[in-house]
Amino acid sequence: MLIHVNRLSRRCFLGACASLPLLAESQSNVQVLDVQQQPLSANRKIYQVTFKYDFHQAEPVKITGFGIVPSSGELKYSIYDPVLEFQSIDSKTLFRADLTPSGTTMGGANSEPPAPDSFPAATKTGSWSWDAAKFSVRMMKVFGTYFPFGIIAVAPAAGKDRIESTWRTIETDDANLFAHIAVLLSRPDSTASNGFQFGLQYVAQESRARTDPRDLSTPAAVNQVTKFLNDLVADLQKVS
Amino acid sequence: MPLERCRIYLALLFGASFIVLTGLLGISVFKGLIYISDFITLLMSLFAVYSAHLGMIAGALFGPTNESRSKSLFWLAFGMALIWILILSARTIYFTFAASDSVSSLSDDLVKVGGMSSVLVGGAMSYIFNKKE
Repeated sequence: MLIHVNRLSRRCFLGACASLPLLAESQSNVQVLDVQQQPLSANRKIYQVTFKYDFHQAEPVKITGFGIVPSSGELKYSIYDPVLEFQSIDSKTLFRADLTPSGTTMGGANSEPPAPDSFPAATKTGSWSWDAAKFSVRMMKVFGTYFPFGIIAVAPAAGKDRIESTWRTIETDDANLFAHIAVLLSRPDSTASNGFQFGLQYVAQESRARTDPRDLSTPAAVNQVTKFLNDLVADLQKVS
Repeated sequence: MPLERCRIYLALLFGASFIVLTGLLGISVFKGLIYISDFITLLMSLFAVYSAHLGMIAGALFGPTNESRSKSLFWLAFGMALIWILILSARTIYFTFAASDSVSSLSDDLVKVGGMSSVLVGGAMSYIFNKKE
């Protein structure tokens, strides 16, 4: 699916756009390249959206539910509500489109994320010393490496933008023992200034080669999860 | 064939196969394929599958000892029981040595194969141990 919008023309390709976008004064160019619906269990759905955008301005923009990003780029992630909305830093809507899926993908058990409210409150924190848009770029790169089944932008809560990962399996020293982890990253949603703290909540499980996942308890799996989280936080804090 | 000997053969068949299958599940624990709690769960499933037949054999200990059974009918019953045990063993061997399998799948299959026992084993065992001369 392709939706290409700029200030002078509005075009919907393949009939895939459900509503016309709202355009603000800045020159915008948003191309929604693909929207895939993925049914989850318990009547949940996610929509994997791929899009390019370029707002031809110096200051970053904000994607509702995702966070502050550079004014141009290409992103691919999943969302629970099929809406793509860009805002300026001062919260003016620059672009909005309701998305209609062009196809359905069936994900395996590994690709199904935990429910966002299933993450325990305990949080591991990290700090970012540069601007928020740059953090988004870094986060996409790092999460792309650590979570091959993708990420989901979750509705903001308590003034935080939240990004949830899908499950990731981690091998341990025991060839028949596996750890499984999913994380929920939260960061302040209202700042483009330099420096902030981000939080990582996580759920972790373990399984053996013939068993279903269960609560984490085996020391080898616990150690691998701890190492994974430390590495993830360290990588998120680096400048790419 | 004396009923006493029928009991011994059948008790050996069921008892030995139960021990072998338990050993196979033990190998899965030893190899780290399953947790001990899964081993106990599967052992309970296996015991449930065997319980009717082991119960019948145990019950026969309290029955008459001076009866006899047709040799050909006994070996037919023994063969049918052996087929049932071989099916059970094949599934458990697959679980122990295959590249991928799951505890839930084995547990489901144990229940299914257990159900087959009423056809392959139940009738014949009932004939052997309940027949009145």
